[in-house]
Amino acid sequence: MYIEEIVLENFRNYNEKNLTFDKAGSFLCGMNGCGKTNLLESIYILVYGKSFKTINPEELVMHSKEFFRIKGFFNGTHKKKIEFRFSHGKKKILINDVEITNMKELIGNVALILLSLNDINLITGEPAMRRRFLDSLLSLLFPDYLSDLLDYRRVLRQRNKVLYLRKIGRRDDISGIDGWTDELVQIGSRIIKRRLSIMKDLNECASFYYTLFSPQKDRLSVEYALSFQLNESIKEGFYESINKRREEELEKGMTLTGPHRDELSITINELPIRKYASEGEQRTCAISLKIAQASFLKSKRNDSPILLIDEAVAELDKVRTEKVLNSVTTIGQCFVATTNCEMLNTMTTLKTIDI
Amino acid sequence: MKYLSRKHEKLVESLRKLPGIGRKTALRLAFYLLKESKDEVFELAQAIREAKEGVKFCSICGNITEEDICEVCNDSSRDRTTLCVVEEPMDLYSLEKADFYKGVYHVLGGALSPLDGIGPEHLRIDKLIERVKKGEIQEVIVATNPDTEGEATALYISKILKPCNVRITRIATGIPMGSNIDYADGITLSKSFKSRGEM
Ligand SMILES: Nc1ncnc2c1ncn2[C@@H]1O[C@H](COP(=O)(O)OP(=O)(O)O)[C@@H](O)[C@H]1O
Ligand SMILES: [Mg+2]
Ligand SMILES: [Zn+2]
Repeated sequence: MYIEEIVLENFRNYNEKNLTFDKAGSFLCGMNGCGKTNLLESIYILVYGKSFKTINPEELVMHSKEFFRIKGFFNGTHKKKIEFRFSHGKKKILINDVEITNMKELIGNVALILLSLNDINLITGEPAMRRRFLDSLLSLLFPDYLSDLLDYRRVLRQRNKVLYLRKIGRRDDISGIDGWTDELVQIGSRIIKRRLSIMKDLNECASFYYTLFSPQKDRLSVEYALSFQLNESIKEGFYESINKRREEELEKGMTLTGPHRDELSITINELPIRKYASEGEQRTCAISLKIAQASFLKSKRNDSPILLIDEAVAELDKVRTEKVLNSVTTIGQCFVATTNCEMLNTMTTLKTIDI
Repeated sequence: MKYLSRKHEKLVESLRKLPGIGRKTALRLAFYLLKESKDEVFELAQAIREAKEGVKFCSICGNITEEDICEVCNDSSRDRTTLCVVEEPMDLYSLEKADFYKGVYHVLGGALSPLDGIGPEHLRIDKLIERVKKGEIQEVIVATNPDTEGEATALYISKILKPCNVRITRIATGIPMGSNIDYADGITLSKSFKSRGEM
């Protein structure tokens, strides 16, 4: 899908703004603080129902205004109008003028990937960042993955509560835990299976881009790292580990095994990237992962994603920047925000919008 | 001024204790009750009092009844070898209304939910084991809701009944995931019973 037109009302620094876009996307030029990120944020909100900058929608309302509204007209596999309104502390999302009641109705209509300088956290940040990377990709590919994920989180909280109450001495047994354990293993195994099912393709895709961007032709590898030993099956390994670690669970008051403890292990030429790679290499790797995500979505969904690129290439050298821009523009509609217009302008054919 | 009136505040606080009612709703309900005619409100109060005094839980299955034993448990034509486990009396009522199930019931009075402080000891699970151990029951159909809590409860029950040597089945989720049994229509319910599976 791609976005043809956006209408902003009282959104951040935009009082009233109406923009139309090419199918290929746009090159967003302007000085610092002119509203490039804000524009990308507004597109992101239409797709995900929330901002990537804040969880508080009040911040999105233009100072001294009461409400904001974003309207987007999408096209591609089909036409779709998405509207996001916020006023008096309440948000309202409408698809083709019909209000939705559940966020699940919104997620998955349009595939969108954001590339920003923060992506380096994918490499240097906590394991949760890498799990989120996988989860957001899988949620866009399989609608039932998202509901499994939400159920898993709920079951995990319930099970942890049993362990926690025992730990702090509010209860002296953990009766009922078997029900939660069984359900955790059932849903958790489905989640792990789904994650594993895309790893081979994802790894190939990410390492293809990394090699393309890296002048030394280094080899990137991305693998799924389980929090337990695989037995005959995922389920059995999961059960075995959870039973083996019961004492430890009681001591810590929480569940220590499962997809919520799994991780992605990322290496360059077989060395862990977190420890050994330079910042440039880490940035290139983060970008490769994000582009792999977009390209993967495109091939599995039979639909081009939208790519929002917010200064993401700012720290890269000229050669890499050019290769990255060439790659993203072949995947889907691209919005490239930059302050460095002169240099980037020569590299792409995207139409420039001066903000 | 701490509150408008002590009596009004007491009513609000009492209403707030009801499930699913927050302070805002309680205030609205209290305001409504005060505005209504005396007859209407006293009728409601009377209905609550009579229900509370006259309605009990069946000493066998936990269903709602005015006698010691409920209508279903008293009915000699029911198949006593099949037992259906549900969360609430409302679920039993939906099944009865759909009119295809001929066995008897066991009402748990909820589902496991540690986050809400509900453990096995708050549900009528001991009573269930006791009933199954008597030996007459051959199949236990677990018809708790198809949400995370209902599922965990079903899994827990199947585990503790395992030693009792009965057939334990779980209704199929022809019921839309996330919706509850008491909302499902009769056809959906009867389908989900027919395609139930071993646990
Ligand atoms: N709620 C708001 N109301 C008005 N202006 C805002 C609001 N939120 C942010 N801004 C303004 O938007 C500008 C930042 O825009 P941004 O999109 O981040 O710029 P850039 O083009 O550098 O990406 C700042 O000048 C900031 O004051
Ligand atoms: Mg910016
Ligand atoms: Zn009864």
